[in-house]
Order: sequence, then structure tokens, then C-alpha cells
Amino acid sequence: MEEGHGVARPTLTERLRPAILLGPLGIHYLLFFFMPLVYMLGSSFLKFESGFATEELTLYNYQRFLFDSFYLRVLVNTLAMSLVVSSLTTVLGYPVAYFLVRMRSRWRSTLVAMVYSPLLTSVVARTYGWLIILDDTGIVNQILLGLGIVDEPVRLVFNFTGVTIGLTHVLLPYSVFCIMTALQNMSPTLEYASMNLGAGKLRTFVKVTLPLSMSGVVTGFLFVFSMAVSAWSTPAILGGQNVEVMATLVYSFFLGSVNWPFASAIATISMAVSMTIVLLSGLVTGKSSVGGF
Amino acid sequence: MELSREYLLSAVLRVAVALVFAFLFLPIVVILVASLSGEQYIIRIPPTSISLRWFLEAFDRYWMEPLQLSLVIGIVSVILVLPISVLASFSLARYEFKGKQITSSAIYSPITLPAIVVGAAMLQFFTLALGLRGSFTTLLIGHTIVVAPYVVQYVIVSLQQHRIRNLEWAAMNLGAGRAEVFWKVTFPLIKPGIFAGATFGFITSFNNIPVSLFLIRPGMVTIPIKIIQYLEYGYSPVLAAVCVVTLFIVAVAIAIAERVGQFTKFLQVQF
Repeated sequence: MEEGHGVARPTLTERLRPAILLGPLGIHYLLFFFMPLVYMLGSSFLKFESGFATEELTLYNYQRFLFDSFYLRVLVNTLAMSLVVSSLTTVLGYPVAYFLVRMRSRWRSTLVAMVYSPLLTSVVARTYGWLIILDDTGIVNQILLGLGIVDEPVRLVFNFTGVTIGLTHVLLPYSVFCIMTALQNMSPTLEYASMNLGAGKLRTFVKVTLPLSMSGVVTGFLFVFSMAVSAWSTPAILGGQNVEVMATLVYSFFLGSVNWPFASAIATISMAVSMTIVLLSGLVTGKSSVGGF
Repeated sequence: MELSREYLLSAVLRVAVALVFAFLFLPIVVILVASLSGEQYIIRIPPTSISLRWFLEAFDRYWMEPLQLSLVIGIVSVILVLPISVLASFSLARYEFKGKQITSSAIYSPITLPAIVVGAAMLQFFTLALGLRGSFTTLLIGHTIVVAPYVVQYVIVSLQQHRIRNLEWAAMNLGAGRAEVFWKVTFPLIKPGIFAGATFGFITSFNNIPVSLFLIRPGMVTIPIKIIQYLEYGYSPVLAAVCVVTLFIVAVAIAIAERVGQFTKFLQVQF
């Protein structure tokens, strides 16, 4: 009888099955992922006194961050840099996405894999590559000095310029893929219709293609933005001592100080910023943008 | 007139795309060239001399120990987390239940949340709440969390192939029991997905920086962190050689995954 179509009510074990299947991973996450995060949140409200975290609760750690122009400037710098990076990835990524979606050649899947491949290579290797290119004695400066365009090396690294270049490079593939998804979901007949009605290629692009792919542009922009806000490796390596962003701040306060309650507050603020962007992205695109993009 | 303008537009597009591709591959090409450089400090492109001596230097214990640790951590964390991730994927791909959306966001959240915050939170929790110092175990636990969401993501994709459901029904109608259906029908069909997820998980762990950063201790450092630590003192072409070795390991992992299941196909499905 149970084989009957949808007549029999599911048994209790049947209904509990999804929970049972999720159980082991759920417990693993709870113990080693959610508990640490909750512990950090709790710690951020603890009062720190003469070298130790006390049991006393306080909002001081957050006040200290929010009323100090140094920390606020780090936050603003991080957001500004991320804004530049996500704009750059969008501008550079759009033509590539458009080209890859429209091309009809057997090389297409190879080129798509090529766009993906930087995501599989380590950030350290790619960042070190940029260091060789952008450093004072690097390739760009060797060329500029050699051609006599400049008299002394241009500072391209260990500042926000270097970090912006590096992050744009690291995050560009995400932007390309988000825009590609939107372009693929768009019916090409709309473009044919526009061109049949006499609009040129450029006009069709501006009036039809671009507006219809906006969802991908926005998703990509916000995705890259959220990744840039929380990036550590690129700012740490290409920024050196001169660049402080939220992630490097979290790192240096956890490993360079004993005031973990304040470090936890910085980390919590950093997480809140990132989650806001992810939620915003969910609102804009009407779907949860977590995991699949 | 109109035709030549269209031609111009498409030429501009092609040039723009070629430039972006050049930008994407520039640092990797530079690393490859630098690793073969015969010079000591300054890396000239094109190089004035070529040698393999940096690779010989890269095969020193100084670099091989961290490399070995990264390999072991990557492989063991994937193996540990694989069975429980596959079970969870079944739940998300096959069942409708209350709070499914939140559950899946929660499972993917190690990807979405700032990794540096996750690493820092683990350090604090392991040290203060569990009394654990940085060790192989803590590093391994941290990496299981890094790896799990990717495995789940890939297995869900492979479970969503349409023909799996039909073949399972067919097997059941022919009288196969639940276990038999799983081992004889479902598992062989999702094996490429599991393998792709495991490979992607391994690569993510192998390249991971922000979580490792907090869970290492002196004498037990993963390879990306070792490179960063070395960078603080200045650079030498040996670093480029070490980077090339790590890139080679990732390439081998992908080649194996490509043979066992179509790894590159899965990469495109993900988006």
C-alpha cells in the first residue's frame, strides 16, 4: 500500500529522515563553526581590565571602535576600496562575459575554463606575481625607467593602488560568471526583435541587452564587494605596513594583542558589514545568494 | 557603412577581451618565468639567464615539510568530512522541510562569512573554551569546515540530474531494495560529483590562508603561510619556484578528477 501514489501519510521515520541525514554535519558545524562564532560574539561584550577579560558585560568595545576616528577610517577605507574593486571587476568582466556567452566556437568551453582557472590557483602565488610586476624594481618600473618616462620608480605596491589591482585580479572571475549567468538566461530573440525593428548592434546592446543583464551585474557587483570587504591575503601582502583594512585589523588584534574582547568586537563588526551586503544581494536579486551565486 | 561599424564594434570587443585575459594570466606567467630565472634578486622579463637551481632549492626540507603538511591536511579533512557532507546533501537535494532555506544558507555560510573572522573565532574558542593550543588537530578541524560546503554544493548538483530519479524508480519497480538502489544506481551516478566536490575541497584547503593563519604553530605551518612568512623578509626566485610546485600539485589534482569524473563540467554548473 505504501507504494500507492501520495495516499499513505509518511511515517514518522520518513518525516524525520531529512533531519537525520543532516544530523552529523549539523553537529560538526555546531561544535566547530557556530559555537566559535557565538563565543566570539559573547566575548565582544566582555570588559577587559588589566590584561584580562572579566565576567562583566559592557558595550565599551563597540564604543571604542565606533567613536575612534582611526578605526572608523579603516572601515571607510575598506568600503571605499571594495567599491572601486567591484566597479573595476564589473567593467572588465562585462565584455568577457558578453563575448563568452555570444561566441559560437569550439574554443568556448576552453575559454570559460581559462576564466575559472585563476580561482583554482593559490592567492599567494598570484599575489607574489603582482609583487614581481609592480614593485619598485618590478617589471612595470623597469619598463617605465628604461623608456625614460619616469625618473624614479612609481610606487605601485604597498599602498591602496597595489591592493586594488591585486583584488580586482583575484575577484574578476566571479564577476564574469555572475554576468554570464544573467546573459545566458536572457532570450536571444529579444535582441533579434530589436535588430529586426531597425536598431543597430550598439543600440540593441544599450537598450535591450544591458538592461536585461542588470541582475547579473548587480549580483556580481555585490558578491565581489562582499569578498573584497573581507579579504585578508591580498591587502596583507600587496599593502604591507601601509594598508590597514578590516581583515588585517582583525588579524593584528587577535595575534598581536591580548585584548581579545576588543578584537572580537572588531571581528563582529566586520562580519556584520559582510552579512549586510550578502542580505542586500539576496533582497536585490530575490533569491538567497549564498552558495550558488 | 553600417557593416564596417559593426565590424569595428566586434573588433573593439575582441581586443578588450584579449586584454582582460592577458591581465588574468599575467601574474601566473610572470611566476613561471621568474621561477626559471638565473638571477639572484631582481627578476628581469625577459630573463637574462635561465636555470633550474631555484627548483633544486625548493625541494629543500624547509619547503617540503610545509608542503607535506598542506597535502595531508587537505586530503584528511576531505576524507573526514565527505561521508557526513554526502548525507547532508541528500537531505537538501531530496526533501522539502521547514527551514530548508536557512539550513542551506547555514551550511554554505563558511563560504559567505569573512574567513578571517571564522579563523579568529576558532582560535579564540579552541584556546579559551576547549583549552586546545594550535596543533595538527585544530588545523584539521578548521579545514573540515573550509572544505564541507564545497563538497555539499557539488554533490547537490550531481543529485539534481534528472535521470537519477527515473533510474531509481525503475530499479525500485524492478524490486530492488533501498540499499541496493543506493549502491547500484544512485552512488555510481553521483560518484563524479562526489569526486569533483572532494577535489575542489582539497584545492580550497590546500590554498587556504585565513583559517590556517590562526591555527598553525611554529614548526607546523602550511605552505601558503610559509610563503607569506618568507615574503616578509624579502623575496627571491625560490619563492616563484615554490609557487610553481604548488600550482603543479593543484594541476595534478584537477587532472585526476577530470579522468575520474568530468571535473571541469562541474565548475560551470556551479554558477
